[in-house]
Amino acid sequence: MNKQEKLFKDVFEANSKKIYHLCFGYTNDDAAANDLLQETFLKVWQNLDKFREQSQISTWIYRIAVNTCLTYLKKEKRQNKEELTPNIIENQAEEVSEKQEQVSLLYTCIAKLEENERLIITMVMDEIPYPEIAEISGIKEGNLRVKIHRIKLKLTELYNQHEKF
Amino acid sequence: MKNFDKLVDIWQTQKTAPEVNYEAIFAHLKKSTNQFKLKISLGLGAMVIAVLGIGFLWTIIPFLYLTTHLSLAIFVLCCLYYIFTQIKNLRILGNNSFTLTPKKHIENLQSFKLLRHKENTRNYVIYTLVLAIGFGLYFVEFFTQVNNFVIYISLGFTIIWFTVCYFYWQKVYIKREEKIFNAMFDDLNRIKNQFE
Repeated sequence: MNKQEKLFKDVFEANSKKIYHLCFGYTNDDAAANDLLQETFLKVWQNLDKFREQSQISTWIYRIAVNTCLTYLKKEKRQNKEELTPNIIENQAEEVSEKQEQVSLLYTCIAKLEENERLIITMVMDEIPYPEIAEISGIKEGNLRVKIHRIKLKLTELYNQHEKF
Repeated sequence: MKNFDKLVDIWQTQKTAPEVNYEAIFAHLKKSTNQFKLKISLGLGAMVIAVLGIGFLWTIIPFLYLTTHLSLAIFVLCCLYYIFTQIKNLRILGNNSFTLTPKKHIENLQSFKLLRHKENTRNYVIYTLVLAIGFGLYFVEFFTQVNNFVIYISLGFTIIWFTVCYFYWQKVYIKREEKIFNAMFDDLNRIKNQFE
């Protein structure tokens, strides 16, 4: 394994789980999230020589992931494949615990948000610092704080509405 | 009733994990690069063979009419136009903007889609018309060499082919392209505005 491959392996292991959460939050579909994760890291590998260390590598990877997710939606919408497939629902129903149900409900509620809201809130919940989210999304930090406040309220309201049923 | 902090607690207890590992990505990278290269190489290779084939015919057959030389030049230019657009698009795709801000990335995507849209609609019409002129010019000399039956068959077939292509397939194709393009552009605009 050469130096660059070793770097890529370390980068993958350190970031893949959070990027997967971002992709799952965006698509609410396990297979699609894995595809997007793979596509993101393919682009990371292809662009690794362009990384200038002006920001943290995790910030840079998040930005690639966000753009990959946004581009993916175009293909998804054309195929009218916005819902979970029955197969995935059945698989998820196999091992249902209260905690898993809550996580699943949370993902369902995230899926009801706007595209940018989904991406921002998953980063917030994965405790990415606000300045980093601002850098990833290209939104000014002041505006972002207002946006995050609104998204938090919206998601909490959605979750509590769904939990009642 | 749960507050947002409680939702964060739920989020952090999740045991979801990706099924993909870095080895699979390396394997996929090699496979996809090879497939992509093969696809592009086949398309470009076919056009290069076409250009060479026309060039070969041009040199070995002593065409007498200027119109024939003009038609062969048009065919070569059409092939070169195809090769040029393929290479240009490849360069744009290779220079992708995934490391830019989402807003800039979407703007780049829109510019690329607009370029492809023009190629698939307006330029496609021009391309077909130029090709039709090329055939017309080629037939001038060709018709002096063959009997009336071949003339009628060739002329009839070419007219029917161009009429169907121009008045039916092209319109269907352009309508479909317009529909996909408009839906995609609206969507991209909507998402771009979310990152203002």
